[in-house]
Amino acid sequence: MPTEAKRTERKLAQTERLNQHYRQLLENIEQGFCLIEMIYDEAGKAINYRFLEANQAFERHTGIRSAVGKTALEAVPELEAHWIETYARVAQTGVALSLEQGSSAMNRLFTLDAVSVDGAGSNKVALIFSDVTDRRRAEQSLIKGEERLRLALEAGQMAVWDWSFETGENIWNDAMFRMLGLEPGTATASFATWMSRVHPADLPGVESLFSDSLKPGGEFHLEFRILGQRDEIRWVSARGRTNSDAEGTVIRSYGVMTDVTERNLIDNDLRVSETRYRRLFECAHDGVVILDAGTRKIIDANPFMTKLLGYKHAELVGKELYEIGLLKDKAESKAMIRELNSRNQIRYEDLPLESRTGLHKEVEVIANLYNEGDRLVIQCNIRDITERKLAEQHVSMLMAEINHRAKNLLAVVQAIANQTAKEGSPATFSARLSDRIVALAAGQDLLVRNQWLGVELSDLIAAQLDYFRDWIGTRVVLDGPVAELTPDAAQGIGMALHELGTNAAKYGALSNDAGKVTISWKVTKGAHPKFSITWLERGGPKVEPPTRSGFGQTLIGRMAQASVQGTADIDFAEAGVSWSLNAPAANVLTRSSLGRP
Amino acid sequence: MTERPKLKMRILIIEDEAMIAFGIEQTLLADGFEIAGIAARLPAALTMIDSCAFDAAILDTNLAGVSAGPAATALKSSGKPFIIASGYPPSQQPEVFRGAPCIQKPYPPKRLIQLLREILPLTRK
Repeated sequence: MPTEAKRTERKLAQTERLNQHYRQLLENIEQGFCLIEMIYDEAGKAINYRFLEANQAFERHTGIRSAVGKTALEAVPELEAHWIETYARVAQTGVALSLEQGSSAMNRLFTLDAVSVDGAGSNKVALIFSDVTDRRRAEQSLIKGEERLRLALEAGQMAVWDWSFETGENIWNDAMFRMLGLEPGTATASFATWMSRVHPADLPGVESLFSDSLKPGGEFHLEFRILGQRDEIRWVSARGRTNSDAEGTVIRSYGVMTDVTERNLIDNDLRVSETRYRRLFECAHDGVVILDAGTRKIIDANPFMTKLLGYKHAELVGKELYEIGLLKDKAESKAMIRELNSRNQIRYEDLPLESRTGLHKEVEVIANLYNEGDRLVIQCNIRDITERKLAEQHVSMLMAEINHRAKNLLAVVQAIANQTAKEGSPATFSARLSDRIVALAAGQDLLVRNQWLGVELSDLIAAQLDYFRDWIGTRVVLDGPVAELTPDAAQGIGMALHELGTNAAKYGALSNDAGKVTISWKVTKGAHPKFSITWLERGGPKVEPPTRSGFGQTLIGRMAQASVQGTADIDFAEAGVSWSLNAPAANVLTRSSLGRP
Repeated sequence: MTERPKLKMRILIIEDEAMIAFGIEQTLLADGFEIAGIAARLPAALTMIDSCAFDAAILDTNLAGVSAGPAATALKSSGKPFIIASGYPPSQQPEVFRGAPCIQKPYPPKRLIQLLREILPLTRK
């Protein structure tokens, strides 16, 4: 018995050591291990199980703490029934089971081996398992990543090629076929097909660049034209790379191609726009400065602005408006921006501006606030209106002067009318007044044509004797130097000539077929030059002196004298009338005419 | 209303436009005035203001491109009444011409006579 007992004892001890050994092993493995005992109801249906043993890894794989002694439903109250059913089957049948199964209640995915401990009909099951949730998730996301890339390629309409030099296989995605104007599946994906769709003009360049890229680490980037759908010319951007093996032999070329036609069009539009507006900016005859609305400092200024102010471009950049003499001070500068923020545009008229050299200018400023990309800027257009202001002043002065002259002229007409009214019948009055007004107007015409500066004497004579213009040079002879009369002298002499002409036509040398009038004038030399003009009639009817002195005589006498502060003489000799007017040349001729050698 | 002076009043005409001066002269003569003189330029005007015997003056504000301002000043200090006759409206005239009655060219001759009678003293000083 003792021997038997000892043997048994030894065996037990042996078993115990073995148990210890396995237990040690189970305790330290990576996987989770547990021994469970099924719990049945009265009808013999498995309804739960209890953890009898669990290794260290158990908690890590399940998230269940201090499981031993607890039932499954105590540890995980929501545990799915299929777990209990599965383990009960293993216990009853004694057939081991491997499975991969997820638990929503535990939010985990397990790979699991279940073994019945005491063979069929037992109620104990050993479980060895791993939580593979993360691993599966990683695998899943890898698959998803590939899917995403494919979607991205399609969404970006990226054409992809992958050409293996070892197998000769060239793989294209559908987008590649379509980009090249080919229906997927109807053409062979090959280098030859690809090259056949490159624009002939770009073919040499594409070919040489692609060849150059076929070396270890070779890359390839080029924009060129291809024939797309319906052979439409499209711009594409191709980026490619090569792979090579350990010996440095190129074994693969792969890359993507995108259609950049629209982008190039936009680029081109941008370039056109940039060139156009840059030219506007550079050539404008308005000063233009761009300010940063945040800092109020100048970012850019056009060449005209630098000319206007006398600062160099670099000196303007970084300054505020008040620092270049445009606004009074910082406060005014800030006020401008406040106002711009509410109105977007301000116009300042008549802003005084001082250039660097202290030159005062009148300017008009139009400031605009707008977004330039992601920053708010203010564009100020500065127009130099100094000249416009001067012109405005000049015009208003001129208007006043014209008003004055018009009034004066009307007063002259009034005086003439009043005097003419004293001569004869209303019919005579009307005719004479008209003639005299016409004579006055002829002189005005010449003055206006010469900007009221003076009238050339020969022009004045021609205008006043317009009625006899066909005789000028024959029956009316002019003889004298170039002489420009002052407006006053022109009016006085003009009216006198008109009266003399009228008389000559009525009673004198121009009243018959043979008479002649000689008008001669001269200017003496010396420190005080004298001007004289003479009207001499010959060959007309015998002259009879007038019986009474009318207004006509006042015009050729007193009026002519007064206009030049000189003396007039008239002689009614039988042979013909003669009239002469003498005055200091300074009273008759314009300064420019006097200064003439 | 002032009464028409019994003695013939002598008027000095300062006007550069001969025709207008002549017109004024004829108007005044027809109405029983005498002409003290006609000055067409500023120097002549200043001389005449200083040396002529006159009761009143008619003054153009611009004498051949020269302002008649000094003549206005001289007239004011002479104490003789005068009328400004100008193509410029009073608002556009320089300060020196303010204060004297103004008649804008062209004007009806009767208006000039009326104004003269208003400013003239009843008897000669």
